[in-house]
Amino acid sequence: MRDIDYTYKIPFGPQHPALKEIIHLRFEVSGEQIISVDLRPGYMHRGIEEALSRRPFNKGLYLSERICGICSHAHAQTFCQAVEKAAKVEIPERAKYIRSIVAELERLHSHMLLLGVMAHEIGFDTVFHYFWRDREYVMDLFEMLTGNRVNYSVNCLGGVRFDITDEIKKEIENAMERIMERAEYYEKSFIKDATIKKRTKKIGYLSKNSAEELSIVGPNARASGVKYDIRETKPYLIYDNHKPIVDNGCDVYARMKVRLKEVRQSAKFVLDNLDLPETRLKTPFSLNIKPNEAVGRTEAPRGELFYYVKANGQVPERIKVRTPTFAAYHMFSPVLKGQYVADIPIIVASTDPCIACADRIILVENGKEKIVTKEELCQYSSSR
Amino acid sequence: MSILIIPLGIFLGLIYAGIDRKLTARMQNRIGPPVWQPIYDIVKLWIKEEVSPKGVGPLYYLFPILTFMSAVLVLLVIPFGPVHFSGDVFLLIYLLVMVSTFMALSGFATNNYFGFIGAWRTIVQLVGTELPFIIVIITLILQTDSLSIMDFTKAYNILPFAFIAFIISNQAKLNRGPFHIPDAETEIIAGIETEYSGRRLMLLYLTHAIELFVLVSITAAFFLMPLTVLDFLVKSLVVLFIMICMRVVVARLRIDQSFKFLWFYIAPLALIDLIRVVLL
Repeated sequence: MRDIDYTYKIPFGPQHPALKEIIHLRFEVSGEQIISVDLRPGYMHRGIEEALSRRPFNKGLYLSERICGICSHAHAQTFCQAVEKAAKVEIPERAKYIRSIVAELERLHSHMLLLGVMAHEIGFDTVFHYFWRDREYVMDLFEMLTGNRVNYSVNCLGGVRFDITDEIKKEIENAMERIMERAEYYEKSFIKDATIKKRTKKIGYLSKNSAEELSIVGPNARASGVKYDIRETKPYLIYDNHKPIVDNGCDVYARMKVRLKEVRQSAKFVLDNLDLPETRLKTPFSLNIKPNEAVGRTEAPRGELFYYVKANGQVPERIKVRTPTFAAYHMFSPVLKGQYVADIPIIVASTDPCIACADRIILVENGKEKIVTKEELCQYSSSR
Repeated sequence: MSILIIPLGIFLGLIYAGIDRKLTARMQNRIGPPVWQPIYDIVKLWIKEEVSPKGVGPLYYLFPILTFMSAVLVLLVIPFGPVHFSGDVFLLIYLLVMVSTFMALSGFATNNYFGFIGAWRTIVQLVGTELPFIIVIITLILQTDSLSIMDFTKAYNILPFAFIAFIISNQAKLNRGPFHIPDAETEIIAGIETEYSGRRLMLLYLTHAIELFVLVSITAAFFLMPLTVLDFLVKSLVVLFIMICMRVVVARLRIDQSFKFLWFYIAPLALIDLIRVVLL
């Protein structure tokens, strides 16, 4: 592609058919090559951290689930983990098993959603529809278990609210076996397809050093050779010997492969752990927590999710959420520089952006953190 | 009487587009729109408001009309039923290039970066598809020893490689299949058609439908030797089915990859048959 003297600034978003959520990327483009990227998030900011520090913990749980639609159980799980650690409460074994099963099912449906979306970005609509059809098996399971397809409030502080009865167990087994067959089929046909390889190999390269320096988490890091998975380094719930899937490809193709293999790994995990111990479902939990602070870390489908809770009584003093997509924001610039405009959607989609999770505002002034009020925010945005 | 080809060609083109959408949907495990859907789309676009962007000149209003006109002119040249055009095949090549060029110019005439990208991609792809297309036409000329289109349809053409190359280059001309780069929805919103709405968009939509009809018909007419009109329609549907299958199973190529593919893989494929016809 010939070098042209002048450059265009083209906007990608906030509205774009390729984006599933609202984010604004401004590209400086010369011909078909990208010279620089300017990232402007903030369209999905809803003031959640402020709202969380005004509600008691049991109401805050339902709010934290709705931070994101696809990784909603991961948020609920991390919130419960942090608050239960602050209150020094231990949940029963059966609740741990149920929470892990729901977490792995969520990882399944999130990865299949993303693989379908990535296929759609390259123009392969057939595979998009096939992946989303297979995802319906998991959504039916959720509906059977909890009554909802998204924002299934399985957790409550101290345990879980729904039980996996024998007929649900049979349905889970059937669905997982079908998903494992389909995952094998996709590994044989989708990953080895020639047009897919042409569009995704050597695109969106992120070297292992950059991934470690920029502290990228989740499947994005594991596709660049960085072996980092919270289920292995700091096991929680019932993950005791988890082996993370690592690939050394460092490009978009590697990220697709890692997620497809994790689909199989999650389905196998659910099949292996369906013998639940016979205990009760929740322990009594009193909302008045003595002054304490705690941290909850879990592996959401997109990477490490981190909740910091500072508790003092019924209403928390501060809750800080760091979502994995926030770490992936740092990745946009090195992964997009020097690539072609035609590859923008597939590269952005391969980092698995869940923008709804990731919009937080921190104003750092003279090294001290400050919380912004609504009037100040209006003034700040109108003066830019 | 041969003027009747124009409404018949438009109607059949819309039906072919409808069959395409229905079959693609069925292959993708969904139900899809009814076969008459493109006709509903045309009627709907007729009554929609036309919004023009800022900073466009008179060419913005002119080029969609020219695109549609050149597509209608191609309809008068194809060998179908009541039409007996005994002129040269060069007119067919010229008019098909004219359709794509005017499409690209319509994209340039909108004052929009996405139209600009769609337009230059259309031109690059046009240059890419013309080479295999012309090699196949030259093969047919040498095989039948004449330049007239009617003689192509009456001759006995067993040219498998040329048939494959012709179908693939038609997919590229129609912006379908692995070559749907100029209207890549996920990258450039709608490419050339981004800033067109209402009746101007209807003209571009009709041009796509007419081009589909024309290219499917000439593929069936040149290579599958139809005898009667009913036979011709059935063989066109077979060609349409092959093109639909090809579109469903592939992802989208990038513009440089598609150009290399057309010039260095498909054109040599067509050359095999050319050399075979020259030597025999």
